[in-house]
Amino acid sequence: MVLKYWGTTAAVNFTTTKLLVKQADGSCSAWVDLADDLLKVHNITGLTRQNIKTKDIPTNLVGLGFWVYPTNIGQGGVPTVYKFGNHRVFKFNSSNVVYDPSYGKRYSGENPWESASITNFVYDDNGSPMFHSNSPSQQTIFAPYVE
Amino acid sequence: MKNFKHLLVLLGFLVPLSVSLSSFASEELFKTLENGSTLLIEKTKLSGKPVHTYADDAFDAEGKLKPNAKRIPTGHVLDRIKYTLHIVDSKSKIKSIVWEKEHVEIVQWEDFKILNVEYVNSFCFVLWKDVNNAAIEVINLKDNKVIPKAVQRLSIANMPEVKGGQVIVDKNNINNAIVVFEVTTEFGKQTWKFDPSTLVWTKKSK
Repeated sequence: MVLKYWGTTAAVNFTTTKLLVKQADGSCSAWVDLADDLLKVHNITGLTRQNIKTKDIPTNLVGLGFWVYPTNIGQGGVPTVYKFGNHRVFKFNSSNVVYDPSYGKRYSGENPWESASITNFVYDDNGSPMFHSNSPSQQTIFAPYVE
Repeated sequence: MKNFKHLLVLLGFLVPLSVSLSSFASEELFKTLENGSTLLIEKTKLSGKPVHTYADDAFDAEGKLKPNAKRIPTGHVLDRIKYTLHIVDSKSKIKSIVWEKEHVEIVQWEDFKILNVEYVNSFCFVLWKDVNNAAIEVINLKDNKVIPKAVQRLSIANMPEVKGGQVIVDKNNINNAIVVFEVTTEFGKQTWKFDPSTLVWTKKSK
């Protein structure tokens, strides 16, 4: 059985290694959890879990989320979902390298991850949804999180 | 004829009752608050809302949106989810719809949660979070509307998760209804104090 990243829309509830293995399907949180567990098995340290969100634009555009390129291939095939409020990955502590276990890819930094992954950013513009296409400048924030 | 009238009376009772019950069919949360009231959160899918964008020159050199920037329709439509908060008072048993909030339907908005609701005098305080954001909103119970000026978005560096929060009412000074919200996070606690006379939240220093 192939483990999938967003094989079904129910994957939002599959956020841990246990559920990923049980359902053969999971969200980015589940794939980060699985990768973290595998790193611990091999006593590999030096990576930190990171939550990615869309930066607010002053003064009134609140970052809601982003759309990933719908054709990007994730674990187990093309994911069924590409509109996200956030995403979760790893960063190496000793460099800017980003590892995205959901898509099985490694990037030299945050902005290279953003350029390869995101087509549109979504904002709340005083109650109305607003899109802005991805531009060369980085529009995401990476922040460590603890599960 | 008499039975027919009875039937009409019965139908007249049943129809509004069934409408009332079906409106709660999608409720996600049902709990009793500390003050004895009951809280219900109803989730409803709304029809799409048009999406717009801005031209690249609508932003200044610092990346801020210029005032009066022109909105450009994109032709996209986004589904939205509406969360409606109902509070059933323990004494009057009257159902009040006090808060409605719309969210663009992006996957992780499923993580939307009401962490705490309290009400003091004519104010209802709602602390909510989703996967990236948290906010305290204040509802005027006289007209059941959110007071826009009093919405406090919680922005905490390197802290994407809010674990919980509570309202602490100064019972010795209830007429002033000064309310303190403590927001507990994985990296510590933030305390905010609300002044109803100015509708301003102040972050208390440690």
